[in-house]
Amino acid sequence: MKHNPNTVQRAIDGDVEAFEELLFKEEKMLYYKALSYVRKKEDALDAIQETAYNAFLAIKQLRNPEYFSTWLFRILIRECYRLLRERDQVFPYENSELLKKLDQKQDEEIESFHLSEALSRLNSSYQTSIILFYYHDLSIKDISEIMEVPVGTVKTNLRRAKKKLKSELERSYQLNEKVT
Amino acid sequence: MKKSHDPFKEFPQDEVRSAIRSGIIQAKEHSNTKHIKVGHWRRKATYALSCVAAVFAILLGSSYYSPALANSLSHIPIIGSIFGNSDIVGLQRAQENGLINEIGETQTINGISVTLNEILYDQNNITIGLLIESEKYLEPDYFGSGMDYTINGKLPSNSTGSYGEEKLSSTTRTAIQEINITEEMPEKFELGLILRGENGEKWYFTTPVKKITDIYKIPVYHTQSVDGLNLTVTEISYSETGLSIAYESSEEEVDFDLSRGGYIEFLVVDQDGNEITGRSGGVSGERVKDRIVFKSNKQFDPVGSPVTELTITPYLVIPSSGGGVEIDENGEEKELELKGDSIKSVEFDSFKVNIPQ
Repeated sequence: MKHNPNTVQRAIDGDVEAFEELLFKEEKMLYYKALSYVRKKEDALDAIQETAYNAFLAIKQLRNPEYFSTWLFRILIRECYRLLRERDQVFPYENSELLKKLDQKQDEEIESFHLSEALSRLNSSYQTSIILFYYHDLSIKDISEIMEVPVGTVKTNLRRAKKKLKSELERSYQLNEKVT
Repeated sequence: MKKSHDPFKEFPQDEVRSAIRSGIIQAKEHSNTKHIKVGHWRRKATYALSCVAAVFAILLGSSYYSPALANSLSHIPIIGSIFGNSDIVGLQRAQENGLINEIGETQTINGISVTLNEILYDQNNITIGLLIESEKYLEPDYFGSGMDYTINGKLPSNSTGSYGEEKLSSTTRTAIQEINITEEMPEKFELGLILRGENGEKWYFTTPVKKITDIYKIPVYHTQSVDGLNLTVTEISYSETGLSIAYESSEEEVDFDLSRGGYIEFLVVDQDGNEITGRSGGVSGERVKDRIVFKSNKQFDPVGSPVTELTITPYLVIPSSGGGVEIDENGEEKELELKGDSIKSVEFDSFKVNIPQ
């Protein structure tokens, strides 16, 4: 456990200084994690401020002090998601990395070319579920908390999104073969 | 030396800590007061301002629940035009003259329906009329201090405004949100509006808005200095929906509590001695070296066509109650203690402005 259990317990008991100390220890991780999701410095700072706000209000509900960091970063990712959703944006990803994780066997150059288009045709819930699960390696439970939907909905999103992506990519691949 | 602006290369420790502190402070406020959730835009403004070194900033009249607005909403019959039924003369005129953008979009979350009823974008404010209906009883402060907003998808760097509600029944209420105009707002843009409920609900509307066209501007540039307090009225603008006086003041002072520029008001009477009623107008100020500079647009009811001349008398209203918030370069907020007894009053001269017919 990277934080002193006494400090975490003090924070849970409402000690402001202890809470601030914990967040200052995580400051670099908070900033770079937020930046990796929202890309802009101002947005990252906004997400951190919202995270501090919501975490302070919710810390009394943290039952296992050893999971403080995991809990805090879940809140951060949820705030990043809210921020992106307000702007009709999705979590960022790298085409090639996402493709590898989607376990596609076909020509990567062609796939990568069409992946963005295929993803953009999915509705935003499907897009977010796919990107968080396959690219950012979050668990289904974490995704359900971030998106504020039941676990079953995330599973359905992933299954349907993957099926749609597969058929879109195959269609693009066939079209491409005809052209060439 | 060339400075890198790549956010991935530089770790802005001061700003990150400022954001963390601001979040904690506002959470503490929320826990302590329970009745006002500080608006997102104010939180945003906190660190936007805090990163300007050596500048202290004060925001007064920010997004709080406004009793004046709530009062203006009284006696509203069940819905038609929220603006037309309010007792704000400018909004009534806007409704009579067809200047209101009627929307009528409803979104329902957790059994709470929020209808974005109408919008007016004039020279002073973007004013939004809402109808809120719920299946169950809602606490009076369920929606905190009102709406956050975006300009073409981006959050504003700072904002002032007010929000007021009127309860029509235990499950129905109307609300008027006022957002004061800032330099960031183009003549027309995509306005995003976010209303948050106490249980985490979020109603999000987007709609194109366009400023009304018949706004007349009279450059004034009237300057006077009394007891070291400089006042410059730069412009008067008016339309069917209201009159506004743009001014700037500065004074050699480093203590916001003692600075008089934020307390300036204006008495406006026409050529026949009829007073034009003042409405509101938040003021924002900043410390520049050893001076404190305030800027504001003070708002008034519309003037009628017989008005040919206005006599304007600036005066100070030194408060005996209320307060403000100071935000320092670390993002720390501090409630300002009123020092009314220590503030020396001044008397300004009147000046006249002709209204072209």
